[in-house]
Amino acid sequence: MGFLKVENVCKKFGKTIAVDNVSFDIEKGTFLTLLGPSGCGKTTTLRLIAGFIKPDKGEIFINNEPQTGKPPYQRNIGVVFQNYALFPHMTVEENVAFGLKMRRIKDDIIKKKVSEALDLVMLKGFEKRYPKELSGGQQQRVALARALVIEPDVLLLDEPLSNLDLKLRLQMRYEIKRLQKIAGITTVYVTHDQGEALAMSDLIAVMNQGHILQIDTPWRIYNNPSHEFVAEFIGETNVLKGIAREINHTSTGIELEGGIILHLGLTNNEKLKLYNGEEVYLCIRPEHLSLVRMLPHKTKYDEFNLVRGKIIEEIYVGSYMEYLVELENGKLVKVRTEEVLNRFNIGEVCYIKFDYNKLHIIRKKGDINCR
Amino acid sequence: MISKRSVDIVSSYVVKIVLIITIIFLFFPVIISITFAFDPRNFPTFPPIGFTLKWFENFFRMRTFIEGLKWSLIIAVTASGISICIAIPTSFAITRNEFNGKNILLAAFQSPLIVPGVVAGVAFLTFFRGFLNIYSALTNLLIAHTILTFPYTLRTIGAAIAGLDRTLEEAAYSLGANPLSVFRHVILPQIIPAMVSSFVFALAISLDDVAISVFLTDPYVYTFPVTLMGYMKVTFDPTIGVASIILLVLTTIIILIIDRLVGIDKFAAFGIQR
Amino acid sequence: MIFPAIILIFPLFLIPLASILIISLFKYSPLQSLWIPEFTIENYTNVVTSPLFIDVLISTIRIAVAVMVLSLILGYPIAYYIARSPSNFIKRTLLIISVLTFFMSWVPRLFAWIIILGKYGVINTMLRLITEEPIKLLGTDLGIIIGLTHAMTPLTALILINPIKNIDLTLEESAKSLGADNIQTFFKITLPLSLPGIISALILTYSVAVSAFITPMMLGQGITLMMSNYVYTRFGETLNFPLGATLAVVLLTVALTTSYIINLSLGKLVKVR
Repeated sequence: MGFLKVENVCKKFGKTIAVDNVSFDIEKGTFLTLLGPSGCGKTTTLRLIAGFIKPDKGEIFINNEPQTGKPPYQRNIGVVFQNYALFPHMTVEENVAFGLKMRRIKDDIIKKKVSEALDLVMLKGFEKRYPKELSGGQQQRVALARALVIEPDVLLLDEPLSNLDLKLRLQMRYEIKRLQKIAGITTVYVTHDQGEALAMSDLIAVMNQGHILQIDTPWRIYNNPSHEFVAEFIGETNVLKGIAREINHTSTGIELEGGIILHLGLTNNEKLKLYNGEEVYLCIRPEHLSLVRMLPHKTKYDEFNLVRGKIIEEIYVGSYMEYLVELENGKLVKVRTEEVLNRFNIGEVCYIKFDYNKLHIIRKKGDINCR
Repeated sequence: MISKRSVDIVSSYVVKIVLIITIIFLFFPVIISITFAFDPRNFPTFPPIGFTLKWFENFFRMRTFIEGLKWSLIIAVTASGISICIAIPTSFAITRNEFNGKNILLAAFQSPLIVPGVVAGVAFLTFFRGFLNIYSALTNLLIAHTILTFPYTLRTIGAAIAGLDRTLEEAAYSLGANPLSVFRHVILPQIIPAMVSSFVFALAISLDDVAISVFLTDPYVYTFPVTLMGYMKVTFDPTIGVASIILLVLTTIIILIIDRLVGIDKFAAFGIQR
Repeated sequence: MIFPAIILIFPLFLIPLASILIISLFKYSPLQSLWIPEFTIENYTNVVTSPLFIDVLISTIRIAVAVMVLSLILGYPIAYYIARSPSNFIKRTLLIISVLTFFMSWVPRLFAWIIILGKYGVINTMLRLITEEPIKLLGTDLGIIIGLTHAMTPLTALILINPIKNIDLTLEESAKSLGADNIQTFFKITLPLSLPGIISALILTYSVAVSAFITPMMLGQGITLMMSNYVYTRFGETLNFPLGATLAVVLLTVALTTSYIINLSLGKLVKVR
């Protein structure tokens, strides 16, 4: 068993299922992010680990000890809330010392630890200030210090950066990660911001409607989504529905809606052969597509990996161009290219070239992937 | 045809005049009554003629007034204190739970407000003396005043407790505080302003009551307002004016305390019934 | 958690109220115990047929209604200016005056009014410069009305502040821009929108006024009575518990019923609009 294990946990509120059979098991020191849209169950899962709510079914283990029945104050956890929840009537020092006081640590040791913690978050000198005198970012850091100073087994963060402005948010990402690495604490981080998740995590669990759809490293989540929701939620991907087809014994392809056939040649042979006849999702990122005007002569191969479309929109971003292309079946595809000089015009007919190595196929049912 | 403009001007003036008359109506009687306490005449009028402190001497010489003031303070402080101690757990139960019959209970808790004072007085007298045989005026007055102040303390403290930030309590729990510690370190400090202001508010209500108290006093234990009422009916002289000044000063102090702690505009925001 | 409050209110308040209901149906004996546990309704018949009682009842309702209306008229402008005045000074001053006069104990209040309204009081002293006849204000309905209005006006003002504040200023502004003058704007926009607040103020003022005790006692001088005084005097005279209980029950019933009737009729008035 890893350090933090969540096993088949379910929670219902009235008729709504908030958390549906969620499980994961992570090693000590891992930074796990629960990522998903509002209402996907990530915050509820966090609160179940913290002990603020009780699961209807399932069990949670911290360091091999079952936590059921234990109220939050008997679990060795540290929580950082979205609104920081700093005690307004206590100074920064008193706030950070609170958890230690509850653990009946001697005063002189408390003083030392608080000083170290404030040093760590770079708030030395702020001891006697009150929360209302601090900026959002400073309050955030006090909240972190307060949670870290008690050296919890698990650190839980509930969208801690949502209330900060963009610049501060980006800065704090590195701060939090840095502190977590120094302290080596097992961390569960909740956010709906995929940029944050990709930048900070060792593991990401993408959630939707109470389930974990995929739990994997950031790289794999981004490049190998195993579920169409994950593909769509993370980064920008074009997702096209189609049916896998074996063209002949060596060649495979996908029949998109409207009858457009994308020949994939020898690549992706095995997977497609397996899915033959099944509905699949084809995922490819805009930066892995390119546009060409029809060449005067074409080789047989060229003809196969091109799909015809019409430019609907163009967006100039400075360092690159983005085009929205409408395929013959009415579906829209986003293409990103660094070619900013030789531009296409709106309404112009063009051909989209797929980079097969970067193409990703998912079965329609989606693989719900839990480690 | 009178122009709209002139209608506006005239109506504006009329309203302002009504306003000023009302303010004078409200304020002046009290101001000039202060001067009456220093006027040597037995039945003073305005403008004052002389200046004397004999009424003050008279007031402090009267044992009944001093005794009455003493009992009033004892009863007011104790009853208000008990009222608040009951209001706190009740407010928690009300704001954080849903249960059947909650509305009926809430209405019952507010019922002392709609019962006329003398009705409550007769009811208390009948039940405590008649049925329960409690002859101690002090006990009866304490119970009555606790009930009298309860709707007020419940409202003010209830509002404060309803407005608490629950995440602070969750943070405390997550840091290892058990429920008692959470109450002591997180909840209590936050509701202290509301506690103090409802305490002094309850003091004002209790010190002012005469309709209920007059039924429950006895020759040994009586309240200040009841004594004053007796005096005013028989003798009427500026000694009452001295009592007036004392009570005015008390009221002003109470309002200042409430303003400092909670802010008078917030306090005035809900319909308070006397 | 809720237990202490239940113990406080139910056995110590509601039960006593129930007990006077029971006692009012018992017989009275001046000699022995407080009452004789035999059922009778003679107390009620006595009370209801007494002409003095009917007089007092009518006086009480009349006075309470008058106070209710007057406090509204005087209190509304105060609330309006507190809610709308651009000057913080005016807002604050008016608020302080309202709160002080509201919180004020009856002792200074009635002491002042007795002196002002008395036969040799402030008003009559000033009037003496003009006429020979002093005006009798103490011991009359008018005197009591003045005293009660003085107490209720700040209450009305305080209750009305929020409802007026909540009226969107732009509604008044658009009425004015469409050609309404101040009076029209007030009666067509402000007044109707503040109606719920007005109704609560009226009902509250009425219930307090109808139960008034010390003000009518002092300003009525025993000549004019309101119901609470009647209960006190009759009960105090004889210590006839059943009678006292009956009077108390009747007072409670009258107070609640008339308040309810006013509530309903005001409600109907709103619907008609």
